[in-house]
Amino acid sequence: MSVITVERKVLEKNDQIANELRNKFRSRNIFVINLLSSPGSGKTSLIEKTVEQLKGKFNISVIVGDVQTDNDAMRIGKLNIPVVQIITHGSCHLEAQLVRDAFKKIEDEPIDLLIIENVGNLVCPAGYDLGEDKKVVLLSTTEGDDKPLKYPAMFRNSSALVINKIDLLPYVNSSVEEIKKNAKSINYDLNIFELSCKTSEGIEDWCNWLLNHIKK
Amino acid sequence: MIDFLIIFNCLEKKSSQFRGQSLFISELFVHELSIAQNIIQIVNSSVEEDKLGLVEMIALKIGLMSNVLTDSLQFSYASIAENTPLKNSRLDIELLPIKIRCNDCNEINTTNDFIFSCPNCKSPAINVIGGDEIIISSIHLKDESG
Repeated sequence: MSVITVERKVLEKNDQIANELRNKFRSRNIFVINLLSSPGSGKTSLIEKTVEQLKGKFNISVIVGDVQTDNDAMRIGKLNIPVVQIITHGSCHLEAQLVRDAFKKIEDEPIDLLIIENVGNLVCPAGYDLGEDKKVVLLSTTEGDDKPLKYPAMFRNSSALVINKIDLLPYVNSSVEEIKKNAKSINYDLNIFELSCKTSEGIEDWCNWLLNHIKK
Repeated sequence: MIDFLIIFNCLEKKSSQFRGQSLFISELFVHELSIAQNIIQIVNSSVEEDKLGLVEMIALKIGLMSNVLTDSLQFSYASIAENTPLKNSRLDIELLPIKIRCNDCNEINTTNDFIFSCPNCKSPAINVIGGDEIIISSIHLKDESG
Protein backbone atom coordinates (compact mmCIF):
# COMPACT_ATOMS: atom_id res chain seq x y z
CA MET A 1 0.00 0.00 0.00
CA SER A 2 1.21 3.52 -0.67
CA VAL A 3 0.08 6.72 0.97
CA ILE A 4 0.00 10.13 -0.66
CA THR A 5 0.13 12.95 1.86
CA VAL A 6 -2.25 15.70 0.77
CA GLU A 7 -3.11 18.05 3.68
CA ARG A 8 -5.33 20.29 1.58
CA LYS A 9 -8.53 22.02 2.56
CA VAL A 10 -11.51 20.60 0.70
CA LEU A 11 -12.85 24.13 0.20
CA GLU A 12 -9.49 25.54 -0.92
CA LYS A 13 -10.86 26.54 -4.32
CA ASN A 14 -13.63 28.57 -2.68
CA ASP A 15 -11.14 30.15 -0.26
CA GLN A 16 -8.79 31.11 -3.09
CA ILE A 17 -11.55 32.83 -5.04
CA ALA A 18 -12.81 34.49 -1.85
CA ASN A 19 -9.35 35.91 -1.11
CA GLU A 20 -9.05 37.23 -4.66
CA LEU A 21 -12.42 38.91 -4.22
CA ARG A 22 -11.36 40.30 -0.85
CA ASN A 23 -8.25 41.85 -2.41
CA LYS A 24 -10.33 43.35 -5.19
CA PHE A 25 -12.88 44.82 -2.77
CA ARG A 26 -10.15 46.26 -0.53
CA SER A 27 -8.27 47.79 -3.44
CA ARG A 28 -11.48 49.64 -4.30
CA ASN A 29 -12.32 50.56 -0.69
CA ILE A 30 -15.60 48.65 -0.82
CA PHE A 31 -16.94 47.56 2.58
CA VAL A 32 -18.66 44.19 2.15
CA ILE A 33 -21.11 42.45 4.47
CA ASN A 34 -22.43 38.89 4.08
CA LEU A 35 -25.96 38.98 5.51
CA LEU A 36 -27.17 35.64 6.88
CA SER A 37 -30.31 34.34 8.53
CA SER A 38 -33.10 31.80 8.40
CA PRO A 39 -35.71 32.32 5.67
CA GLY A 40 -38.13 35.09 6.67
CA SER A 41 -36.06 36.82 9.35
CA GLY A 42 -36.03 40.06 7.38
CA LYS A 43 -32.80 40.23 5.38
CA THR A 44 -34.36 41.96 2.40
CA SER A 45 -36.34 44.31 4.65
CA LEU A 46 -33.15 45.24 6.50
CA ILE A 47 -31.46 45.98 3.18
CA GLU A 48 -34.41 48.16 2.14
CA LYS A 49 -34.26 50.14 5.39
CA THR A 50 -30.46 50.46 5.20
CA VAL A 51 -30.56 51.76 1.65
CA GLU A 52 -33.32 54.24 2.49
CA GLN A 53 -31.19 55.62 5.30
CA LEU A 54 -27.77 55.67 3.61
CA LYS A 55 -28.46 56.05 -0.09
CA GLY A 56 -27.85 59.79 -0.24
CA LYS A 57 -24.49 59.50 1.49
CA PHE A 58 -22.93 56.37 -0.06
CA ASN A 59 -23.08 54.19 -3.16
CA ILE A 60 -24.66 50.87 -2.25
CA SER A 61 -24.92 47.73 -4.38
CA VAL A 62 -26.53 44.41 -3.53
CA ILE A 63 -26.01 40.79 -4.58
CA VAL A 64 -28.91 38.52 -3.58
CA GLY A 65 -28.92 34.72 -3.47
CA ASP A 66 -32.07 32.60 -3.48
CA VAL A 67 -32.93 29.02 -4.38
CA GLN A 68 -35.73 30.26 -6.62
CA THR A 69 -37.36 33.53 -7.81
CA ASP A 70 -36.08 37.04 -8.30
CA ASN A 71 -38.53 38.48 -5.78
CA ASP A 72 -35.83 39.97 -3.58
CA ALA A 73 -34.02 41.64 -6.47
CA MET A 74 -37.33 43.08 -7.66
CA ARG A 75 -37.92 44.63 -4.24
CA ILE A 76 -34.41 46.06 -4.00
CA GLY A 77 -34.51 47.21 -7.61
CA LYS A 78 -37.31 49.65 -6.70
CA LEU A 79 -34.72 51.56 -4.66
CA ASN A 80 -32.79 52.35 -7.86
CA ILE A 81 -29.49 50.82 -6.84
CA PRO A 82 -27.45 48.17 -8.69
CA VAL A 83 -28.65 44.69 -7.73
CA VAL A 84 -27.80 41.23 -9.08
CA GLN A 85 -29.92 38.15 -8.34
CA ILE A 86 -28.25 34.75 -8.10
CA ILE A 87 -30.68 31.82 -8.42
CA THR A 88 -29.02 28.65 -7.16
CA HIS A 89 -31.73 26.15 -8.19
CA GLY A 90 -31.12 24.06 -5.10
CA SER A 91 -27.81 25.01 -3.53
CA CYS A 92 -28.35 25.95 0.10
CA HIS A 93 -25.61 28.57 0.29
CA LEU A 94 -23.69 31.03 -1.85
CA GLU A 95 -20.11 30.27 -2.83
CA ALA A 96 -17.33 32.67 -3.80
CA GLN A 97 -17.47 31.72 -7.47
CA LEU A 98 -21.12 32.75 -7.70
CA VAL A 99 -20.38 36.08 -6.02
CA ARG A 100 -17.41 36.64 -8.33
CA ASP A 101 -19.58 36.07 -11.41
CA ALA A 102 -22.34 38.29 -10.04
CA PHE A 103 -19.93 41.10 -9.14
CA LYS A 104 -18.71 41.23 -12.74
CA LYS A 105 -22.16 42.54 -13.66
CA ILE A 106 -21.82 45.60 -11.40
CA GLU A 107 -18.06 46.10 -11.14
CA ASP A 108 -18.12 49.29 -13.20
CA GLU A 109 -20.52 50.95 -10.74
CA PRO A 110 -19.18 53.22 -8.00
CA ILE A 111 -19.60 51.19 -4.79
CA ASP A 112 -18.85 52.09 -1.17
CA LEU A 113 -20.95 49.38 0.47
CA LEU A 114 -21.73 45.95 -1.02
CA ILE A 115 -24.36 43.87 0.74
CA ILE A 116 -24.47 40.17 -0.10
CA GLU A 117 -27.81 38.69 0.94
CA ASN A 118 -27.13 34.98 1.36
CA VAL A 119 -29.59 32.13 0.90
CA GLY A 120 -31.89 31.81 3.92
CA ASN A 121 -30.16 29.15 6.02
CA LEU A 122 -28.49 29.26 9.45
CA VAL A 123 -26.29 26.21 8.79
CA CYS A 124 -24.32 25.89 5.55
CA PRO A 125 -23.50 29.52 4.70
CA ALA A 126 -21.50 29.83 7.95
CA GLY A 127 -18.62 27.88 6.44
CA TYR A 128 -18.25 29.64 3.08
CA ASP A 129 -16.02 32.67 2.71
CA LEU A 130 -17.40 35.05 0.07
CA GLY A 131 -14.62 37.64 0.37
CA GLU A 132 -16.63 39.73 2.81
CA ASP A 133 -15.30 42.02 5.55
CA LYS A 134 -17.95 41.00 8.04
CA LYS A 135 -20.56 38.28 8.39
CA VAL A 136 -23.75 39.69 9.91
CA VAL A 137 -26.34 37.26 11.29
CA LEU A 138 -29.96 38.35 11.55
CA LEU A 139 -32.34 36.71 14.01
CA SER A 140 -35.96 37.71 14.50
CA THR A 141 -37.75 37.64 17.85
CA THR A 142 -40.25 35.13 16.48
CA GLU A 143 -37.62 32.43 16.02
CA GLY A 144 -36.94 31.61 19.66
CA ASP A 145 -34.15 32.84 21.92
CA ASP A 146 -32.12 29.62 21.89
CA LYS A 147 -31.15 29.81 18.22
CA PRO A 148 -27.56 30.98 18.93
CA LEU A 149 -27.07 27.77 20.94
CA LYS A 150 -28.59 25.62 18.18
CA TYR A 151 -26.47 27.16 15.42
CA PRO A 152 -23.16 27.93 17.15
CA ALA A 153 -20.98 28.00 14.00
CA MET A 154 -23.08 30.75 12.44
CA PHE A 155 -23.01 32.96 15.53
CA ARG A 156 -19.35 32.22 16.21
CA ASN A 157 -18.30 33.21 12.70
CA SER A 158 -20.30 36.45 12.62
CA SER A 159 -19.13 39.91 13.70
CA ALA A 160 -22.56 41.33 14.31
CA LEU A 161 -26.02 40.12 15.33
CA VAL A 162 -29.11 42.06 14.32
CA ILE A 163 -32.22 41.17 16.31
CA ASN A 164 -35.22 42.07 14.14
CA LYS A 165 -38.97 42.32 14.74
CA ILE A 166 -38.66 43.80 18.25
CA ASP A 167 -42.11 45.28 17.58
CA LEU A 168 -43.50 41.75 17.95
CA LEU A 169 -42.02 41.14 21.42
CA PRO A 170 -45.39 41.56 23.21
CA TYR A 171 -46.75 38.63 21.19
CA VAL A 172 -43.94 36.06 21.48
CA ASN A 173 -42.24 34.13 24.27
CA SER A 174 -38.72 35.32 23.40
CA SER A 175 -36.80 37.89 25.34
CA VAL A 176 -34.09 40.06 23.86
CA GLU A 177 -32.03 39.64 27.02
CA GLU A 178 -32.09 35.85 26.65
CA ILE A 179 -31.14 36.08 22.95
CA LYS A 180 -28.24 38.36 23.84
CA LYS A 181 -27.08 36.16 26.70
CA ASN A 182 -27.11 33.04 24.49
CA ALA A 183 -25.41 34.84 21.62
CA LYS A 184 -22.68 36.25 23.88
CA SER A 185 -22.03 32.79 25.32
CA ILE A 186 -21.16 31.64 21.79
CA ASN A 187 -19.37 34.80 20.67
CA TYR A 188 -18.41 37.32 23.34
CA ASP A 189 -17.33 39.93 20.79
CA LEU A 190 -20.59 40.11 18.86
CA ASN A 191 -21.87 43.62 18.15
CA ILE A 192 -25.59 43.36 18.81
CA PHE A 193 -28.35 45.58 17.40
CA GLU A 194 -32.04 45.47 18.27
CA LEU A 195 -34.39 46.88 15.68
CA SER A 196 -37.62 46.67 13.78
CA CYS A 197 -37.68 46.93 10.01
CA LYS A 198 -41.42 47.52 10.37
CA THR A 199 -41.30 50.56 12.67
CA SER A 200 -37.69 51.64 11.89
CA GLU A 201 -36.81 51.63 15.62
CA GLY A 202 -33.10 50.91 16.04
CA ILE A 203 -32.22 51.28 12.34
CA GLU A 204 -30.09 54.35 13.02
CA ASP A 205 -27.72 52.55 15.41
CA TRP A 206 -27.27 49.75 12.86
CA CYS A 207 -26.56 52.27 10.09
CA ASN A 208 -24.06 54.07 12.32
CA TRP A 209 -22.14 50.83 12.75
CA LEU A 210 -22.01 50.47 8.96
CA LEU A 211 -20.96 54.12 8.60
CA ASN A 212 -18.01 53.53 10.92
CA HIS A 213 -16.73 50.85 8.55
CA ILE A 214 -17.45 52.38 5.18
CA LYS A 215 -14.38 54.02 3.63
CA LYS A 216 -12.30 53.38 6.75
CA MET B 1 -31.68 48.87 -12.29
CA ILE B 2 -31.80 45.13 -12.05
CA ASP B 3 -29.52 42.61 -13.65
CA PHE B 4 -30.04 38.91 -13.44
CA LEU B 5 -27.51 36.19 -13.24
CA ILE B 6 -28.94 32.73 -13.18
CA ILE B 7 -26.48 30.12 -12.00
CA PHE B 8 -27.57 26.52 -12.36
CA ASN B 9 -26.62 24.22 -9.58
CA CYS B 10 -23.61 22.44 -11.05
CA LEU B 11 -24.67 19.35 -9.17
CA GLU B 12 -28.09 19.19 -10.82
CA LYS B 13 -26.99 16.51 -13.28
CA LYS B 14 -25.32 14.44 -10.60
CA SER B 15 -28.25 14.68 -8.23
CA SER B 16 -30.74 13.39 -10.78
CA GLN B 17 -30.94 10.11 -8.91
CA PHE B 18 -32.52 12.01 -6.03
CA ARG B 19 -35.46 13.28 -8.08
CA GLY B 20 -38.68 11.71 -6.94
CA GLN B 21 -37.57 11.71 -3.32
CA SER B 22 -38.89 14.36 -1.02
CA LEU B 23 -37.58 17.89 -1.36
CA PHE B 24 -36.37 17.77 2.25
CA ILE B 25 -34.02 14.87 1.50
CA SER B 26 -32.68 16.57 -1.62
CA GLU B 27 -31.99 19.76 0.31
CA LEU B 28 -30.27 17.78 3.07
CA PHE B 29 -27.79 16.21 0.67
CA VAL B 30 -27.00 19.16 -1.60
CA HIS B 31 -24.44 20.61 0.82
CA GLU B 32 -22.61 17.31 1.25
CA LEU B 33 -22.79 16.60 -2.50
CA SER B 34 -20.91 19.83 -3.09
CA ILE B 35 -18.24 18.83 -0.57
CA ALA B 36 -17.98 15.33 -2.04
CA GLN B 37 -17.47 16.79 -5.49
CA ASN B 38 -14.64 18.99 -4.17
CA ILE B 39 -13.02 15.91 -2.58
CA ILE B 40 -13.09 14.06 -5.89
CA GLN B 41 -11.57 17.04 -7.70
CA ILE B 42 -8.67 17.14 -5.23
CA VAL B 43 -8.13 13.36 -5.46
CA ASN B 44 -8.12 13.60 -9.27
CA SER B 45 -5.43 16.29 -9.10
CA SER B 46 -3.33 14.39 -6.55
CA VAL B 47 -3.28 10.90 -8.11
CA GLU B 48 -2.12 9.91 -11.58
CA GLU B 49 -5.08 9.04 -13.74
CA ASP B 50 -4.06 5.43 -14.34
CA LYS B 51 -3.72 4.87 -10.59
CA LEU B 52 -7.16 6.21 -9.55
CA GLY B 53 -8.59 2.69 -9.54
CA LEU B 54 -6.05 1.76 -6.84
CA VAL B 55 -7.36 4.35 -4.38
CA GLU B 56 -8.73 2.47 -1.38
CA MET B 57 -9.25 5.12 1.21
CA ILE B 58 -9.26 8.90 1.52
CA ALA B 59 -8.48 10.15 5.01
CA LEU B 60 -10.38 13.28 6.02
CA LYS B 61 -10.20 15.49 9.10
CA ILE B 62 -13.49 17.26 9.77
CA GLY B 63 -14.01 19.73 12.60
CA LEU B 64 -17.12 19.66 14.76
CA MET B 65 -17.93 23.24 13.78
CA SER B 66 -17.81 22.59 10.05
CA ASN B 67 -21.54 21.76 9.77
CA VAL B 68 -20.82 18.61 7.76
CA LEU B 69 -23.14 15.63 8.29
CA THR B 70 -20.66 12.76 8.01
CA ASP B 71 -23.26 10.10 7.12
CA SER B 72 -24.60 12.33 4.33
CA LEU B 73 -21.06 12.93 3.13
CA GLN B 74 -20.35 9.19 2.99
CA PHE B 75 -23.55 8.60 1.03
CA SER B 76 -22.92 11.54 -1.30
CA TYR B 77 -19.34 10.48 -1.98
CA ALA B 78 -20.37 6.91 -2.75
CA SER B 79 -23.08 8.17 -5.11
CA ILE B 80 -20.80 10.46 -7.07
CA ALA B 81 -17.88 7.98 -7.18
CA GLU B 82 -20.09 5.13 -8.36
CA ASN B 83 -19.44 5.41 -12.09
CA THR B 84 -15.86 6.64 -11.83
CA PRO B 85 -12.46 4.97 -11.27
CA LEU B 86 -12.90 5.85 -7.57
CA LYS B 87 -15.94 3.60 -7.17
CA ASN B 88 -14.18 1.18 -4.80
CA SER B 89 -12.75 3.86 -2.53
CA ARG B 90 -14.15 5.00 0.79
CA LEU B 91 -13.85 7.96 3.12
CA ASP B 92 -12.25 7.60 6.53
CA ILE B 93 -13.36 10.55 8.66
CA GLU B 94 -11.58 11.73 11.79
CA LEU B 95 -13.68 14.23 13.74
CA LEU B 96 -11.74 17.09 15.27
CA PRO B 97 -12.82 18.93 18.43
CA ILE B 98 -13.14 22.69 18.66
CA LYS B 99 -9.84 24.29 19.72
CA ILE B 100 -9.96 27.51 21.74
CA ARG B 101 -7.31 29.95 23.01
CA CYS B 102 -8.08 32.20 25.96
CA ASN B 103 -7.26 35.87 25.42
CA ASP B 104 -6.83 36.37 29.16
CA CYS B 105 -4.71 33.44 30.36
CA ASN B 106 -3.46 32.22 26.92
CA GLU B 107 -4.38 28.62 27.65
CA ILE B 108 -5.31 26.42 24.70
CA ASN B 109 -8.03 23.83 25.21
CA THR B 110 -10.37 21.66 23.18
CA THR B 111 -14.09 21.13 23.55
CA ASN B 112 -16.67 18.85 21.96
CA ASP B 113 -19.53 20.69 23.58
CA PHE B 114 -19.58 24.11 21.91
CA ILE B 115 -18.69 25.75 25.23
CA PHE B 116 -16.99 29.00 24.43
CA SER B 117 -15.40 29.97 27.71
CA CYS B 118 -11.99 29.15 29.13
CA PRO B 119 -12.05 26.02 31.34
CA ASN B 120 -9.05 27.42 33.22
CA CYS B 121 -10.02 30.99 34.13
CA LYS B 122 -13.70 30.99 32.97
CA SER B 123 -13.13 34.02 30.75
CA PRO B 124 -15.57 34.35 27.82
CA ALA B 125 -12.91 36.19 25.82
CA ILE B 126 -11.71 33.29 23.72
CA ASN B 127 -10.65 32.77 20.09
CA VAL B 128 -11.61 29.67 18.16
CA ILE B 129 -8.39 28.47 16.55
CA GLY B 130 -9.58 25.12 15.21
CA GLY B 131 -12.63 22.96 14.70
CA ASP B 132 -14.11 24.15 11.41
CA GLU B 133 -11.64 22.40 9.13
CA ILE B 134 -12.56 20.10 6.26
CA ILE B 135 -9.23 18.65 5.20
CA ILE B 136 -8.06 15.79 3.01
CA SER B 137 -5.02 14.59 4.92
CA SER B 138 -3.96 11.59 2.83
CA ILE B 139 -4.90 9.19 0.04
CA HIS B 140 -4.22 5.46 0.45
CA LEU B 141 -3.63 3.28 -2.61
CA LYS B 142 -3.39 -0.49 -2.74
CA ASP B 143 -0.44 -2.11 -4.47
CA GLU B 144 -0.87 -2.61 -8.19
CA SER B 145 -0.28 -6.28 -7.77
CA GLY B 146 -2.87 -6.53 -4.96
